[in-house]
Amino acid sequence: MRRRPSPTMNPLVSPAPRLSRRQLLLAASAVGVGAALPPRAARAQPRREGALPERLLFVVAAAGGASILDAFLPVVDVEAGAAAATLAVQPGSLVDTVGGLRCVGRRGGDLAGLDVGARFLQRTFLQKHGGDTVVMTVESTSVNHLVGQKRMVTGANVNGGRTIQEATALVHGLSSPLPNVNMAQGGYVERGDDVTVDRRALPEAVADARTFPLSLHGSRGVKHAPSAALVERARRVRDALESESPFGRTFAHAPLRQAVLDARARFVPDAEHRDLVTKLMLVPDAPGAFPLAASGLAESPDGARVREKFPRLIGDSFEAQAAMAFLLAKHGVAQAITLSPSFSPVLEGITMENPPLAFDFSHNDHPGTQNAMWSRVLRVVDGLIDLLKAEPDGEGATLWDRSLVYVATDFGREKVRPVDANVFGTGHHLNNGVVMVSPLLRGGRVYGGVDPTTLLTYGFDPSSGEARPGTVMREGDVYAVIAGAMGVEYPGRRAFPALVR
Amino acid sequence: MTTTTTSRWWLARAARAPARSRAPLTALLSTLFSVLVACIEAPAPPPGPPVIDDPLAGIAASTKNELLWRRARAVQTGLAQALAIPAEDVCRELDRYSCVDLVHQVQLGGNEPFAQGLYEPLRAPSTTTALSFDRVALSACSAAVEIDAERPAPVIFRGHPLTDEPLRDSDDDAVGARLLGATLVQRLHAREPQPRELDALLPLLVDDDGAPVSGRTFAKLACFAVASTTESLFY
Repeated sequence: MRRRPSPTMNPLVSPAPRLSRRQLLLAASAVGVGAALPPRAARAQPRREGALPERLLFVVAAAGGASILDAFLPVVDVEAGAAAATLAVQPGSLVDTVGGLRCVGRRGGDLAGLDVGARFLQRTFLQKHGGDTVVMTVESTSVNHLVGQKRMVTGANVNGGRTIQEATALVHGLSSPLPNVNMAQGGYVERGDDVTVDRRALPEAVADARTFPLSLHGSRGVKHAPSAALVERARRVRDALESESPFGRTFAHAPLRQAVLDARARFVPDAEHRDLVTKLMLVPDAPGAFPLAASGLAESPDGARVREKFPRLIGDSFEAQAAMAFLLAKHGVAQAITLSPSFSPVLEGITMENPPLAFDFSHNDHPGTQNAMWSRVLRVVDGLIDLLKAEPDGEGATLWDRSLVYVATDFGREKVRPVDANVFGTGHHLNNGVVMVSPLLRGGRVYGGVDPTTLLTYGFDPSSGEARPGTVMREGDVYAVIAGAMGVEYPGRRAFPALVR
Repeated sequence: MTTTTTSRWWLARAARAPARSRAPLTALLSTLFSVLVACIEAPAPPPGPPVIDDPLAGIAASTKNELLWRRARAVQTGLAQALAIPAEDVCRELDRYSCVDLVHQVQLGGNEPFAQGLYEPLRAPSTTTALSFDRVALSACSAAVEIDAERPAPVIFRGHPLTDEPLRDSDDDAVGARLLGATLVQRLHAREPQPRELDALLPLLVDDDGAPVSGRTFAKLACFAVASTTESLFY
């Protein structure tokens, strides 16, 4: 049983982790492989029998409320019968089927007076990745953005408040520099509520992927700075000062201070030795915006490659996050990586690529917003998967073979519309579904279903996968599916053999 | 002045106090007087520096450990004031992006509501805070030395010429280093330095091969070593 945090426990700093025996064994196996060797070298070693293979989790937060009915679980107007006039159904001409999944085509039209982007087609995504794509219905427990967001990554605290990213990082990433990198926003970027989580697995918040590499070296690129060797010498002097000062003596055991000293001892030499400031520098040397060379910096050797896949990354933070997600995975820096589109608008000429409030602009225009934002999210996921599929993992497979992309969202949207309206706004709704893409799942199908007369989704049998009208899946079930694929164990975890390979 | 005022206050209070409550005070003053006389009359100590194993031995480690994080804007303001440079010169990445307002804002404990929806700042320093803080401190110190070198007379970095010429490897170097170290501790930490802290800075007079560094380089390194201690990050 998990230890309940004491009221006197300092919530600011995590004490030593309290793991179950099983978690301890899993974590020990992960650390045992990687502790003595750099992670890349560790991966090149033959895996010990019984050791858990490393997994990569990408959480793509469809912030604002992405309705599954506007993507891979649409209901066509004729299926709704007489109720169609007042339900948020799709016109039959827009809905297509690829393999075992449906999708919605490009609506066109405008959004807030600007052209709707939606240039990337859902159909294209399914044609490329449909076999790995899972739609799982879910009914969440909050229509508050921040609360809903957090519950979709904590499974409504099904694992003691630990986010799925923290849990994944604990199992697969404790020997990595930054096992849990979080570039998302709102409730998705918050740490979980489990104060016993090892602080190494807590989210490392990244505000801007384009400049984040500058946080990975202590002196490179600092104007008028002495050489790195001399700075290193000054750091050793600083260590002496830390122990010779009255402040250092007084707060020798202060956890807050100790966390920084630990990072200096563990993370700083590792990050600088790996030259992460260069390997992750995804922007090009540009004298106007990014004068790298003039500052003694250089772009990543993979820079051109990621920019080819994400050509707008300099002006579009979501694309930059996806490029960074790939580089973090490739270089063994992180095992749980979270990204999300911004609530700030992104324009491409006269096209609305990202409306303000992202999916939540559905309050103003549901069909246009959902169409544009799903296209945007799927285009970025497609690019990320392409890069992962093309990257060998050193063991005869690719990074994609051990990856899972979870398209999380806050909640669903209302199912109704004014009679026969083509443009309408929707509020928040608990009932919805999520998308997961991974070769670790039995993809190419919907788990659960939707009632065409109400547009409410229903659940399924975890063992057989058969749809079960009258039941619903919860946030904890989504968490359990991902945990199963990631090798994350916790007391009472529900098994989903129908879904997890 | 303060001591004199306090003494007068005590004497006035003692004069007003009743005789019964005056007795302990009288005894205390008598004891202090005896100690003073003993000190004056004590024989001179033997020549040579006093042997003190650990001048911080009397400092007990806190059991409460209640530290507060000095966050982004406070770090910037503190460095700017201590090093006598404009706040905007403290740190700019790529010579154009503010470290505190943009690039390292979140790592330094600021909040970023617009791009990231981070409405509340981090509760505790994250892993990369250590490197972000290093960069800000190193940038501030490097800028301060360059600015001081341009002044007719240096304001902060006194003790060595702020040139690129290697130091002469003489006893004066150690004197200058201690002078600068004391100034840095006073300005950055608002307290007097410990002798051992000043000694700890002396290795920065040479590089890893033992060759003397320049006065300009020593000033930057010493400043960075003092400014980037955890004493600058917490209070």
